[in-house]
Amino acid sequence: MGWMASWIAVQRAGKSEILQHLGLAELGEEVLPGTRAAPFCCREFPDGWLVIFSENFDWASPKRLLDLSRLGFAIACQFEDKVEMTSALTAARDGVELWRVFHDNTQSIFRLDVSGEPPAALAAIRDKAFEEQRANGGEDSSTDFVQDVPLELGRVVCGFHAEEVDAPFTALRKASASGIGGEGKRRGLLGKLLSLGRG
Amino acid sequence: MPGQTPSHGRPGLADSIETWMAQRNADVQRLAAGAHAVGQQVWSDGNRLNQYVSAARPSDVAALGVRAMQKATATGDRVAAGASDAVARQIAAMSPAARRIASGAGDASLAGLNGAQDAFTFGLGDRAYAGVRALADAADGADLGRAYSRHYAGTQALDAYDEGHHPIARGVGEVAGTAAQIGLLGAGEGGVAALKGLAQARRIPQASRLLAREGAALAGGGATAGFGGQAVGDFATGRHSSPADYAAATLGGVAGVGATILSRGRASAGGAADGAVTSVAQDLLNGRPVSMDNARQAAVLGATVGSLAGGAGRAWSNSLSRSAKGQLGEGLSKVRTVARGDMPLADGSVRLPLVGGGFTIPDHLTEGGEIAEAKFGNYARLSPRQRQAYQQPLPNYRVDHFLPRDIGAMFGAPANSAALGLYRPTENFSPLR
Repeated sequence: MGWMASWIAVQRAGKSEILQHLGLAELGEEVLPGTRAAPFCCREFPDGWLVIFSENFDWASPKRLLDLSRLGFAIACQFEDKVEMTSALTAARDGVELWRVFHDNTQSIFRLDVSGEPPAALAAIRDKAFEEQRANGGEDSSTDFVQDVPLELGRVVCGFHAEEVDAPFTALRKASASGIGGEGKRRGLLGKLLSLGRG
Repeated sequence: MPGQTPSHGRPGLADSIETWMAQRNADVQRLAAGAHAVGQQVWSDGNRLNQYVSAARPSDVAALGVRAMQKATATGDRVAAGASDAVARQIAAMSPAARRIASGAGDASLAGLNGAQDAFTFGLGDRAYAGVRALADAADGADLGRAYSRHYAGTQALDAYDEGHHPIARGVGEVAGTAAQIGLLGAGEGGVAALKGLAQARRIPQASRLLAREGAALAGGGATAGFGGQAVGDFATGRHSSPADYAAATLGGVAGVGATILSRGRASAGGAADGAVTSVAQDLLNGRPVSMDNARQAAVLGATVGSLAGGAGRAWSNSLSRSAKGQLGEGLSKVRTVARGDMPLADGSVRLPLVGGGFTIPDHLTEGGEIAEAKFGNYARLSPRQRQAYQQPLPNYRVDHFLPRDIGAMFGAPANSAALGLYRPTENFSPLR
């Protein structure tokens, strides 16, 4: 499936409180993020981080991030490697966006929009990715190295990188319709048609 | 010409300059009157023989006469030789149509250009010319409507003249005009894409190439579209096409797919090939003489519909959300697996560890052991992990990269086949005549 996913990590907030806020409940099964074994899954990381992973790119929206950030410092990551090589990492606290790092290659493969004051580690991550990009054909390269910058910054902040963490997550299910964890968008006809072949 | 020989006196031989001038003017007037009379005779003879000769204005009639007198000069008549000034004035006053008919030699190339212009503009060029000339006449006090009709009739007479006297040159010109038109439609198809920001459309080099089996599957799709288009035409019009018509439409559909692939996804090129091949094959298989005019018309129709449908397909697929594009790519990748004679596994979402750390998650695995990664859109690239998987190499790793132009081609093939099925070519067709 490549990646077309998103996640939100909240620091130092109770797991049950977060899941309840999202209207999600643990299933008890272990799954690997990205395998579509469950629509949501979660795992705790050092320094009080709880990562809630969704197989839906649109789930970790800015609105949902701002809402969850009232429970604690939170970061949201949306990423895909199938269409425009989009990746974005946004941080918020108390309902206010603090910083954002965004990439897609619709304008340039070197595009990296930064707002606010992200962690200082960004500079080194960005320089390494740009250097790698230039060494491999720059704009004409068939590989997008810059797409990895927000993902790598996410690993620096909360310890999670979807393509590097092998540890299993706990599958989640929707516990109530009132929470904010739902897909948020009904699947259209095209989506239904294209999902027919999925197991 | 009896009775039309002018005198050739020089000033030194005349009693005075005034006398010479009077003599000269009388000669010219006699020549003009004679030319007009001869022109009327040519016009009358031509129409009696059902060969329409354009001579809308008195000056055109005179021009015909001058032409006849030029021919006479070639056989030793002294008329034109002594009236070169009058001839020059007469020719300058002619309409292009009459001038072409009058000048004779060298107009095969002009017939070709005229044919190209007619084909390229669907006959609009003739109307534009007649309109401009009519406006000029109206400025001189002529009735605009009548002037337009007169000049337009002249252009049609010229076309008829070219078809009668230079059929090959005109035919070549029409084919060239049609080719230019199709080329423009193709450019338009790409131009619309460029306006939508799709100019950098290119497949990543790691994308796997079509297997012969996939080519055969696509040809089968084209054949189905061609056959189906003919059936749609029969159903919609109540017509009963012959088996030969169906066979030809099927062949045209295959040719259309081939042309689309060779032109890198131009639905207009596919439509043109579909139309031309269908038309020629229908003539041949039905035992009729091949009509290049019908083939040309069908090619233009196919290219036009293909261009429109192709553009719509590109625009639609490009307007989808990221998620929908991703799903579209995944769905097409599974279709491709089937076209390769394989089947996607129901649950193919697995993590595949890579040498050097990390892993990649392909879109689906196949029963035959392939690992398929699907991408859609003009901006899709490999991620570093996917590049790692490709270079490692991960055995049987297959990258499928679909572009909006592929969707355009998918829209274009059935659309132009249906249009061609509905269309019944007629000789000398022009939508604006």
